[in-house]
Amino acid sequence: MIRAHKNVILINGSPKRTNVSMSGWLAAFAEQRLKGELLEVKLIRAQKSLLNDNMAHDFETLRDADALVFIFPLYVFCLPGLLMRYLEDFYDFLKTQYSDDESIDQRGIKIYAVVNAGFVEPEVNLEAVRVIRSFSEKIQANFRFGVLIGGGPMIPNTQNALFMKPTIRALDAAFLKIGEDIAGEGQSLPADLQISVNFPKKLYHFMGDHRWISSVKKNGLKKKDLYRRPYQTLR
Amino acid sequence: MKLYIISDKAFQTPLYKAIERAIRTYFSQKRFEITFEEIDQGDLDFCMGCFGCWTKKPGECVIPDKMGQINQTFMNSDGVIYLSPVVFGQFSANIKNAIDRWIPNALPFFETRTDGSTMHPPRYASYPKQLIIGYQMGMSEEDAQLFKDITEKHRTNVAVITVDDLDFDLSRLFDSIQFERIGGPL
Repeated sequence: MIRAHKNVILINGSPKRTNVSMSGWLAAFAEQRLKGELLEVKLIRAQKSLLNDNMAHDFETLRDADALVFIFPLYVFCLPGLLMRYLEDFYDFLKTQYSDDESIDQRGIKIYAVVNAGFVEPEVNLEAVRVIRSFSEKIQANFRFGVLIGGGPMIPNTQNALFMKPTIRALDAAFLKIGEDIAGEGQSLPADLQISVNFPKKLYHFMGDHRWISSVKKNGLKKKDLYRRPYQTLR
Repeated sequence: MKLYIISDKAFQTPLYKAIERAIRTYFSQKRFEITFEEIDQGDLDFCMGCFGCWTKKPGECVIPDKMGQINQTFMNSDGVIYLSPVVFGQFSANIKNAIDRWIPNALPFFETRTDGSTMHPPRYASYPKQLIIGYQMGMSEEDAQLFKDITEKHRTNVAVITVDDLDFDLSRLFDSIQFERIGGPL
């Protein structure tokens, strides 16, 4: 059987204003793993799209795709406000620009969520994946599965360390699975994947806490300044 | 007693107006001092994940907009009600911006809770009692459950309710909640 060529859009939903983010790293990682003979892969940064007021053009690109992969950080146990704005606007765009006959369900677009958290437990991302599933249903697209990543911020800087190899292999396998699912007929629905860093939680917390102390000192403050209570005075 | 209500100006539907009326009526009768905050698109910038609120200006967001005043009013209230549209089972973008940019009020450190999950410790000894009301006419059961799970599975001392039609009565719920400051984990 000859499989058709597919267009895949990776949407980086990080609100960071720089190019450097865990979601940006994951998007580049995904692009390397997904692009090939059968899949053409394009990257869109939601933050840049909103900032440059380039949304109508980008929304057309999303609508014309065969698959959308939303890659984003967990903010307060769900999607960042910036990505919610992007999804709300995309939903409104589809509602106002296209009639029901032209709606996305005619094309069976596939949607995936790749969510990374600063906490080590990957399952903390579950509700964010469910939000992308709900969004997919509202635009009548075909939500497939999520990849839930715990301890994400640690991965880019330690990707070549021995202890990180199982995590990198798991990420490789996850994007391979996404690629196969996009290229395939999509009969069965794969389960969500959970990936965490292979690192002791207590040590992860210790290193994280130490990082805040060294960061505040780099900014000319003292450790005790971390505990300031600027809004306490009135009560 | 001070009650702070944070709502989305972009989703002022008939259902929103009915809930707002019910809140005003109930809490005025209870002699609460009510402050309403209506957040519109463009009022708040997006949290940009810079962590300046933890390492540059601890306890305060570094983005110079209305959020500094919102956090100050929040921290000096006895109760806070978020009145949020339910969009794809989550908070709307405007309300989510206010929640993302609430994190200066927590400390950056990690702590392991008794159930093994991770959370940031509180910055302050006490916080206002919080209630989140999610509204949307005819919302699906899945979206209503997701809206509750986002908070109830991960937060302590924050109550959540969803309202999906105009035939509602919130007074019994309000009766059951003590809108006063509480300590403990976030």
